[in-house]
Amino acid sequence: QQQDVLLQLQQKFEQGKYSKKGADGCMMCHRKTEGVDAIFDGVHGDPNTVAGPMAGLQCEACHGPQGKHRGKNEPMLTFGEDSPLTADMQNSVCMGCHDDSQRMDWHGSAHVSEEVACTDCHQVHIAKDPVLSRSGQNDTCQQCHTKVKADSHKRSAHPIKWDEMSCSDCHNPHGSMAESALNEPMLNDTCYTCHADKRGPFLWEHAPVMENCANCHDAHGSVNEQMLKTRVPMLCKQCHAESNHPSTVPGGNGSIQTAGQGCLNCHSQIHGSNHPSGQAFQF
Amino acid sequence: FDFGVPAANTSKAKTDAWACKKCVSSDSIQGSVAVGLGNAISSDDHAANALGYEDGFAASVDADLLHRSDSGLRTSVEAKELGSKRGDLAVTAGRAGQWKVGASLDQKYQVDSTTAHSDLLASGNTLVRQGEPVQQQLDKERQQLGFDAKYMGSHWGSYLSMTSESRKGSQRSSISNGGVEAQNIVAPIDSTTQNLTAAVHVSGGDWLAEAGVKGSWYDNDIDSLSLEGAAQPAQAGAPDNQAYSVYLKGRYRLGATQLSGRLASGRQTQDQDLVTLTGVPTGVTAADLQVDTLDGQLALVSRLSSKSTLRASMIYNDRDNASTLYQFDQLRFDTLSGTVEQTQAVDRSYGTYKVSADYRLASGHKLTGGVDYKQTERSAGDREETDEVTAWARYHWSAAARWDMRVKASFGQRDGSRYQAGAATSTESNELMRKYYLADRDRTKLELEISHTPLDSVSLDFSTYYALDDYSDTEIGLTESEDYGWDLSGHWQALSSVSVTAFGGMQWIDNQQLGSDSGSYATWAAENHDEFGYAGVSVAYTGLQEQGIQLSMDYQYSYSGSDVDTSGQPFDDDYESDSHSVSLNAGYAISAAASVGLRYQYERYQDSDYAEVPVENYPGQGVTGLTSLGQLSQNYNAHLIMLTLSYRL
Repeated sequence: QQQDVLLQLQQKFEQGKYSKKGADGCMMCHRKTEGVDAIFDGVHGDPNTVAGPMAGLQCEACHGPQGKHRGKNEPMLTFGEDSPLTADMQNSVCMGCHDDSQRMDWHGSAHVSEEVACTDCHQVHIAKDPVLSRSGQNDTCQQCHTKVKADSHKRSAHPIKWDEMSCSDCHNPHGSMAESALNEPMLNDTCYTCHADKRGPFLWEHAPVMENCANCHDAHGSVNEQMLKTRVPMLCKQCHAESNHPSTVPGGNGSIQTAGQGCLNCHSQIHGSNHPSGQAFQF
Repeated sequence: FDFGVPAANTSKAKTDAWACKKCVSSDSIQGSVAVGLGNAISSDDHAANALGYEDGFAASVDADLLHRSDSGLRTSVEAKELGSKRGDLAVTAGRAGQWKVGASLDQKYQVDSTTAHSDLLASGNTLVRQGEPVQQQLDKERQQLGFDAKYMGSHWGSYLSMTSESRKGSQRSSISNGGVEAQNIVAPIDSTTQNLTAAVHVSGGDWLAEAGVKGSWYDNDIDSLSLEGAAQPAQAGAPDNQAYSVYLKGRYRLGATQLSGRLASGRQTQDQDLVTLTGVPTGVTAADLQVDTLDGQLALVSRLSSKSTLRASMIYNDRDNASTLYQFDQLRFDTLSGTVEQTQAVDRSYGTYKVSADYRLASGHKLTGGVDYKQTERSAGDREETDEVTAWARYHWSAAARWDMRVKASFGQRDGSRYQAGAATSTESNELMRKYYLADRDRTKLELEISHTPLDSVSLDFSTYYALDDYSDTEIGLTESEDYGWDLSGHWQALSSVSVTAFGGMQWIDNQQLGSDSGSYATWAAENHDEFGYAGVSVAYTGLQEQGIQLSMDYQYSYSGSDVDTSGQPFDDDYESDSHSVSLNAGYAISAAASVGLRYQYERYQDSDYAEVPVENYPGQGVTGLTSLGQLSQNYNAHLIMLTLSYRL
């Protein structure tokens, strides 16, 4: 049945029988429909929006030509879970106007392959789309990304939990050609946006640091301080077995390798040193 | 099928006579503004992380206002918790769909600990010795000013984004004498980062292209830290540095195929004066370091049929370190050791190649599979090349009403060129060591997600995962890592006026590693067990909405813990944290426009760390050679009560 409705909608769209009065005709009936007139509070319902719906086909820009909807109750294009349109078809309505620089990589994004519809995250019939605020965005993303939501509550995490940051500070929900839809080409470049003190170049570089911040850190959160994957000194000893103290068993609380700041008691410049004597990141 | 306006048949549309009586075209203001007054009660200002306020008077302004002029100019003012430690403000103006300018203030604040004790007190770049330990606070404050502008024409546009972020406060650090004596310090932070992006984009019927530049400038006012009167700086700060890049990106559509590409060339530089000239060759006074980067990305998405899509992508990154190499005599105990070390300029290139396809077997049955190949090459290091191949498959089942299930399995193998332990270090490493980020590794991962809507008023989501990293050729180092857990959430619209959301989950990460102080075989073992749990519930009641009353409640609990077991000495005490967070909100509408609200927030937080030891440690009684910052853990109850008055325009 949904398939029949979809075929009918495609035919209607191709026939292009638009209404005689535009939005005024629609609102004669739909002024009573809850939430519909909220469109006029938002940017999509503003007649001054350049190339916006109200400056063109109005309601029918998104919901398709009216045809015989009025009187014979022919179906119109609808959005959401009950829509006869696939997510891709629903999105084609939005992308008709929004296929621009900011969404250049949408077609290759994970959200497309997961059949996420624009309306799963965005609202149009509203004064202001909640997903455009930091708290609204975090709530929206975390509805699906539940593990990331969990991570934000760990002992050490970026301040997503208190909406001091939002997911889009690092990721582009509309896709990017970088891994994990990061905003910058490489993970480290994304981190350097806020942590330029780690960028260097340093006189003495710590190879795994310059290679990938995620070698040691989990950016979504960790039960270990500093978002470390494992705490010091165990983490350091997963790479360092040089003779003398790096190769020894981690001492208990009474060891300088464990107490205080662990290995960083002496090797404090672990992200790289700019001291001529900083070969071992001690200065 | 494309339902977009550009694909529409508008030959019969006669929109000239269309009006829009409901449209707002006159001068108007909409939105709301709220003022909050209250009090934060906390015995530890670490609570400011959760509350946004330190102990004492609390005030805030929240606003979301929009002015629309007759001519269509939209001006907005947004304020969020302005007055708190994390208050934000943004002002924008523009014509929707054409141009927009905006300025913003974004503040972040984070307290690490309020109970650091040290007899070293920082004054600028100098650490001044006090007569006795002084209690100091470890906290960071970020304040970012931003400016954005964009213009959108019919086939071209441009945008500019600039930010300037100051970072002030203090952080944990440590100084040592190059031997085995160390003193933990409260190190000052005072730096600024400025970022800029500017781009121009053009588009045609089937293509988009963009050219842009990016710049980033980091300026650190703490270029070194020195003990008062010392001949040598105890620490070099993060150096002032700059990064620039130019990029070109584009996308072309050919029928059902989309081809995207991006090419960027960048440079990162540093020319900071050296913090000491001791041990430095004559004539060298400043660093001359330069890294050139090249990024290339390609992506192809092709709809093969109504049932199948093919995806392929490539990411390439090259880091060419063109820095001058130096030979420095290394200091130890404030004197030259006679050991001369040479800096390294490590080049690295990284490539990722992915191909995947999905196929809709039938309505509600979708199968996706792919292969990822990653290759990293380094000019120096224990292993000059690593290669990883991962195959994965995913099945999405949504054939039954009210059910949705996704299951994904992946298996990856990493190996590479001959491993040369210790090649990257001047000291001799155990030749059996395999560094975990370079080692051979078999990675197996399973994921399951199930969504169920048993009733129109009830929805449930469950996910679980298991990942095993087996370092198959490692005798010394990380040998195995397991990561597994589950998450569950549910929503219940109990009555038309009551909605309940509950969520929770657990995660465990277990690592096993081996070490050796003999050289030829493992002589010790360690196991690391991380555990995390969280739960929460939110309830909203709207049954008294007609009387103007709204009520809501949120509760969240989280637990983080980590244990270490070694074949050596035990790690006494705990390394864990837990928190209970409660938020109660009540609102009452005095009139159609004005309302009062009451917000109560409660935070119960405690953490512990077995690594914390008293400030002074004497041989035989404590930790030999270490002066720590003392007990940094927290254990407190904190409350925030805010009365808000809001007005809707």
